[in-house]
Amino acid sequence: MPTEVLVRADRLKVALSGTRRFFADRFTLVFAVILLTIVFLALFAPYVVPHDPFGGDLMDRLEPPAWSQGGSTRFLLGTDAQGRDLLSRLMVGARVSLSVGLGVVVVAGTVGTVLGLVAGYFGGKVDQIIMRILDIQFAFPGLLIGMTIAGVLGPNLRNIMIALSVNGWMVFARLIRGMVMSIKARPFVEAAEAVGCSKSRIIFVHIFPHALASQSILAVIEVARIIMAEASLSFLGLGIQPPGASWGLMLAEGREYISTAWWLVTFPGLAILVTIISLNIVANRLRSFLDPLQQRVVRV
Amino acid sequence: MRRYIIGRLLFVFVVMASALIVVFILTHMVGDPVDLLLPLDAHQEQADQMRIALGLDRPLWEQFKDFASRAIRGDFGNSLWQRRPALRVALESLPNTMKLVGAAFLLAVVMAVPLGVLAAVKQGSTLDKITSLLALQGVSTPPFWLGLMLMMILSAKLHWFPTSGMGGFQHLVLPAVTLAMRPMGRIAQMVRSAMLDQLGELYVTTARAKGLSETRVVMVHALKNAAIAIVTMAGWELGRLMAGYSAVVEWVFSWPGIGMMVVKAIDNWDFPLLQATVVVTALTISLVNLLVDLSYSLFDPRIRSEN
Repeated sequence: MPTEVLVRADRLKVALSGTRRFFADRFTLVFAVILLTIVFLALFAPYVVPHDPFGGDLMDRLEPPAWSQGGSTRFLLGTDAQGRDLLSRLMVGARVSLSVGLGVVVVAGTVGTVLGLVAGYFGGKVDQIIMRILDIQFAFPGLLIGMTIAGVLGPNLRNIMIALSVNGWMVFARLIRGMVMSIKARPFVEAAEAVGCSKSRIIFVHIFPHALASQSILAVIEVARIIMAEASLSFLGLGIQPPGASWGLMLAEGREYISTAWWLVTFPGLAILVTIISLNIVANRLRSFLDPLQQRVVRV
Repeated sequence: MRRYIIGRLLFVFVVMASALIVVFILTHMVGDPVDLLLPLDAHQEQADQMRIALGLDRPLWEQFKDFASRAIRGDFGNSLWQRRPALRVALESLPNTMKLVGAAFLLAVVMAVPLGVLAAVKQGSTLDKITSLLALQGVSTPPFWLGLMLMMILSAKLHWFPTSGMGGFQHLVLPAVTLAMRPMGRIAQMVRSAMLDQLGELYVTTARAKGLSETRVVMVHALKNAAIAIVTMAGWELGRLMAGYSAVVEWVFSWPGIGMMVVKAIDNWDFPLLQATVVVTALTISLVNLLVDLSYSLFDPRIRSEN
């Protein structure tokens, strides 16, 4: 057998046993499965929704969940004041939450990572300028600025992403800068410099891979934080607008029926809670898995 | 020490200057406020007149200079919605937020510190696990949802507390508990890990070897050294409560704080009020951060003696 194939087979074996060890923790497995289910429902929401999430029949309004008195199996989690199926709307809401979470983390994560790499590698003036901006922005009322941006630009999906991205780059920059400063003192960076590698090659090919693990963990935690922020904005009416569906908006809509229709204020919040807990638990496991020395619980 | 204080004060100044710039840019991004202020059937000449009256025909830089010099003197103009000075509206709602945030923060610290210390001392115990769980739920539970749940069960069903508004102690309980959950979890966890770090240090072994009581070792020696990390974290959480986290809770319970004013200002396109509330909040957070920075010298003599 040619060595190349052997190496590939070995790699596969390592990857498989790694995956197995990752999920050996039952607790993590349960939440990873929940998370995958949410991702699946979000991805395929248009095909799997049992009813039209945006239009309902007023004859069906405020139906309780199937297991409650007066509920029917037609609407598993009941319906809202306009007769729309709550379960279908939760699935569409998952789509919004996850796309905002991922979108913002990709944008803010890329910007933050590049700025952090640059600041950490070059040091000096560049570093000082980037870090001062970062300090100032950390001292800002972030959520309020986010609310203002979303409100001023007009509340919709794209503008929420802008509002949250503006505020999301700093954590990525700060974390990777610290790592770069310690990595760049190591001999292999000196060697790369000595053989005449370009600066961008050293930063992105030699240094960045060493920080990739911790940046990925941070990305997972940030997705959780952004999902919460989106829900907050939508709850305040500064995010997704009716008749759209977002978990935060659904809670705001259900608020009027708090004493008559408990399911309207219960399930959207549970959806947020379960998603965020799952993300945090997976991130936490990822951290202790990738870096056994640092078994601290997640900082969000 | 003096240099340290001057440095921190300078930073507050820079943050406030940036806050003014950001607020100015944000409220000028919308395009022409004249369209919003005038009735729909207004003539072009009326719009031009108003633009000149408001100084909108001047270069942006001059407009900013004007805005900043008035803002420094506390003049943000009249709130379009309440028709009185915007700063006064903002300052009137600030004490309400402070009351809520103060109560929530106090509750969080009073619960979290003993819990974190006990969790560290009895590592791996049930109490330790409860602390970890509390930290996890603290960061994972949407505060507005928790507020709605408490309201639904304790107010609407059991009638133990009023559903919303501000009044006596009864009105404060639910919003404060709701707001306290997150900092409580975070601080408890920080206390735990800071205490674990300290309890592994040699001076703790020395203190024990001297025959000091375990309570004294833990509560005086270790806790005092863990204090910097704890105060940093608690201060950060306090800042975050002020920086918008209270807004959602205020909104749920119709608590007339400054966060709610921000949301109302956005809803009503009330830019003077929006500018005033955001600037006042930024200043409050800066002062909280300043106090936290200055309090380090209480715990760390190295900062005090530094010249």
